[in-house]
Amino acid sequence: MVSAELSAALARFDERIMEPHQFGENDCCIACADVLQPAWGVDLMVLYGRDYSTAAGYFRLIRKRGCSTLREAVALAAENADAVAVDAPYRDFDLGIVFCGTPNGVMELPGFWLDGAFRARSPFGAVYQMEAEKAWRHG
Amino acid sequence: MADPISMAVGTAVLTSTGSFAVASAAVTAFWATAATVALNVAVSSVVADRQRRARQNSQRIVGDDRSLQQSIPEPAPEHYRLYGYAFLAGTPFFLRGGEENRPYLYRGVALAGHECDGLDSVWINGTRVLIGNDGFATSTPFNDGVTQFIKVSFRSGTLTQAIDSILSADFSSLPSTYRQLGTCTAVIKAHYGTGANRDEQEDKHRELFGDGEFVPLWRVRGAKIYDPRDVTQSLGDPSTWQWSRNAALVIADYLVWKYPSISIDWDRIAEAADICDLTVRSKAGEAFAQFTMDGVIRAGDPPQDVINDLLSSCGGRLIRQEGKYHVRPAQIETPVGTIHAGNLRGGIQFNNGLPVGQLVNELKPEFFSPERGYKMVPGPVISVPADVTADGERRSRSERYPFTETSPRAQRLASIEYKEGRIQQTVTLGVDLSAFKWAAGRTVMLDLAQFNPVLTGQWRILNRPWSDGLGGYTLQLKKYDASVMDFDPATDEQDFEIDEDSDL
Repeated sequence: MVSAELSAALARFDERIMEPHQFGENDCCIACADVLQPAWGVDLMVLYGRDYSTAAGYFRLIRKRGCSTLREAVALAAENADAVAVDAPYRDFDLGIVFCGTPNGVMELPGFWLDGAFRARSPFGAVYQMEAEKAWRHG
Repeated sequence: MADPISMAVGTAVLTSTGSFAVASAAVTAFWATAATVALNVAVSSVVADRQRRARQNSQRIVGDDRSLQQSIPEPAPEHYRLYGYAFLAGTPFFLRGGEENRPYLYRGVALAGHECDGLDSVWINGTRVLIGNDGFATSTPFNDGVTQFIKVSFRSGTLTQAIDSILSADFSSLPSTYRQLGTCTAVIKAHYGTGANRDEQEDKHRELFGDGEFVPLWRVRGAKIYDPRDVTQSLGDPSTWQWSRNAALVIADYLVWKYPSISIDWDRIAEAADICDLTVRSKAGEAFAQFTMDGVIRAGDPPQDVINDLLSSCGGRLIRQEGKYHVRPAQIETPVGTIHAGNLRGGIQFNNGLPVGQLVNELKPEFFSPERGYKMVPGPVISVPADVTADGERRSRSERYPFTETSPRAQRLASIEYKEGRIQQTVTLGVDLSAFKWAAGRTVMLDLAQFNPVLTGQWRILNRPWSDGLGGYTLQLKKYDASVMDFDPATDEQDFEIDEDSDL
């Protein structure tokens, strides 16, 4: 049963992917965290805050926590939320690191599992992946 | 003042743009053309190419001191391909004037190095000259009831053609072997102008030919091309081919001309040709085939540019499938299949494209206008006020339709281009073997609303490569909306007004 708050968060996620990508407002980490907050009861961005507006600004924040990559930052946020690493099969609202193709290669994004796919906000829209490089479960 | 007809020929100077700067006097301009062999042709061209050709042609001149007795023994067939109605000046191979020929100037031009279907019309000083069966002008001012100032002859460029009829009749010294075999040619015999005195002659001359260079433009029905729908035609026997301006057939012919070993999917070309031949109407009620192609292509033009320009004449796409190429013109698409979650291999990547505020909301088409002597002119701007309002500002882009004649045709194409440009969403996804028979260019339905409501509806297949990693096909899709083809001439076609002050 999805709560009204979670339902609203999911609707907001779908809206976000139709809007321009913007660091600190509408990026992959914030879009994922804002869905998992009502699902997990934890804000995954609490370690880093949301006071950034560029990729460099984001990396400055995660470096303060000893992370040098997005994957490390997501793993630390999951650990901080008492989530545990899991493999497939996944459950709804598991957190995962998924790949996204870009004109310059492949990038990693945080996403949440729902109805058969990890959903992640990408710089260009969204990705829906059936597999994750790494995944965590809360509770 | 010297007799204008016997005045010395002015010296023409090749400028950096490949045109000729000549003295301003009408008489000089008229005769100056006799000394300018390498005239620029009314087609898009590369300056360096023009200059190179000018040098080559200048070396082929067989001239004398008077500079008016010039001819080229055989015109080197320019590597032009004329399609549909082609409009060009041609490359001179015969120029005669001067005292012994007065009051006439003879100008013979090579139009194409292949057989053409026929001559449609000749244009002089921005005026279409009607020609009778005997080759003489029948329309004013080139036929004033007393004097026929223009006579033309045309040869289609067969391998058995005889010497040009005007040249044969007026220049008995020319051998019967002066035939320009395989070269489509036109010859014009122009009268300088009549009058009781020099002033009257000059006035008449200006009325007929203006003040500029004497460069008649020829509108020619170009190449005969293969039509797979016609059972009387054989791909291997060009003598059975017929003239056509059908955009799909022209594109197929160009591909074969440019790449002789290319494989063409003629069945799909036939389907595309049917789409191009569909009759539509202008606001004025004129019926016309919706996608035609008219123009001149040079062998040296970059193929990618040419193909893109050709495709613009039908809003089409060039598709390679199973090793064969075909064209898919703009049309209302019927989906060839549906993709459900069960068909997926791997993930889905959705790209929302440019934000609405960055989309073009004013498209300015440029096309060839018969009303402006077949010059490239800007047409009515295609725009939707609601889009401009939503975007918050005007964002304009020009779109050239270099092989499209008339405003109604260009507006239809621009309308499709505008609407398709507003649709930016793309999806990349892996699909199982159900995609085996789906061709790029066709559309499929997405039934993936469980991931996102946007992943539903009709999408066009842009690419469909096989992926070993997925054990299926990677489909690149673009959102499709059949309404891009909506065009009601009564409400959507704008009046095309000629700006008389324009330099175009």
